[in-house]
Amino acid sequence: MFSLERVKQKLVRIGFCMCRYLPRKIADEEIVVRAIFSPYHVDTKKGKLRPNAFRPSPGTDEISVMRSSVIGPHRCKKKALKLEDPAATKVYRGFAVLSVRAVRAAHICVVDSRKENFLGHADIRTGNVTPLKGVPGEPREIERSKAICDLLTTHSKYYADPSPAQSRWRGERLIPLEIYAISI
Amino acid sequence: MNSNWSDYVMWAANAPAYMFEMTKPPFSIAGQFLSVVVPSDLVSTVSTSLRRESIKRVEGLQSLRDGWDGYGGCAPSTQVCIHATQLIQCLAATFPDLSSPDISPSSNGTVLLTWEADAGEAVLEIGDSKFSGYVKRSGSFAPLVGEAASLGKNELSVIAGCLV
Repeated sequence: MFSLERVKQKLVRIGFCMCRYLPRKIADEEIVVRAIFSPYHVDTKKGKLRPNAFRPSPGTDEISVMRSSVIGPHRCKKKALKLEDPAATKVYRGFAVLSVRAVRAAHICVVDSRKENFLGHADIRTGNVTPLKGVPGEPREIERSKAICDLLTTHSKYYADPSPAQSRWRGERLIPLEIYAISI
Repeated sequence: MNSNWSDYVMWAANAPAYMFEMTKPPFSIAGQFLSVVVPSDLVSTVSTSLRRESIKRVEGLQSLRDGWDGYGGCAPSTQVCIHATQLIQCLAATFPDLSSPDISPSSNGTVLLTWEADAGEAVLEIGDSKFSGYVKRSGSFAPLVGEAASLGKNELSVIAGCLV
């Protein structure tokens, strides 16, 4: 079953490369990546992700990610570099890699969101809506939000980009923590 | 407002700790500085390095612009940073045993102060006019809510009581 799923994923990837076909349904076997920017997403001295890397956008419960298993790391990096703004001390540093299966195991949704964004964009939907600007959440909401951020940080593997200025990804192969742990 | 903020940060880094027990910043929101007389015999000897380091971090937050996180995050307002600075000053002055919190901006323009210890954890989220948070220790949960301007000793004593 597992190998059949892998074959299916490979076909999806080939389909995307040949004719931009991308199914809306995100399979458990897929991996998603979140672009990481310093200084607030990552502790560059320790090379560790901060839970802040997984805060939803204001007024939503959505954490933007990219479907790296389908669109590939080079396209993900291109999109990440577009968000970079060194003048505003927002510097691209690398990717946090998550397995969709691990996220769903924690009862958090991962959904395709190409309509408002681009083909290959997805959202991790926490179900905990971030309040609007300048308004703190309720104590229980803050607790839940922190728990979700901590959980996603724990389940993700951070890959620092060895050559952030280049347009293509030149770092290690992006694999989620659970597979990385097996491979070492 | 920005020049007032940098003046305030310079003042805050060198001011005696007791000054921060005031509930208001030393200038009004309109930008008018109030005259402050500092009696030399009241100058406190609290941990200034902790205070300076934390104030520096809050100062860093003040320089953020909207979209700072790459995902549409709002920048913290001057008011939020003032409340955070006051709390740090109060912390250094009255609870030197309580560790320095992790200070981070939130995507909705608030500032989060997080304490994590073996005994439990505490989080304060400071907004423009309100604050909210909690203290958690071995299954018990104590919510903290109120006006940001009055944030100070009471809340810190709850946190210190739980974590120290």
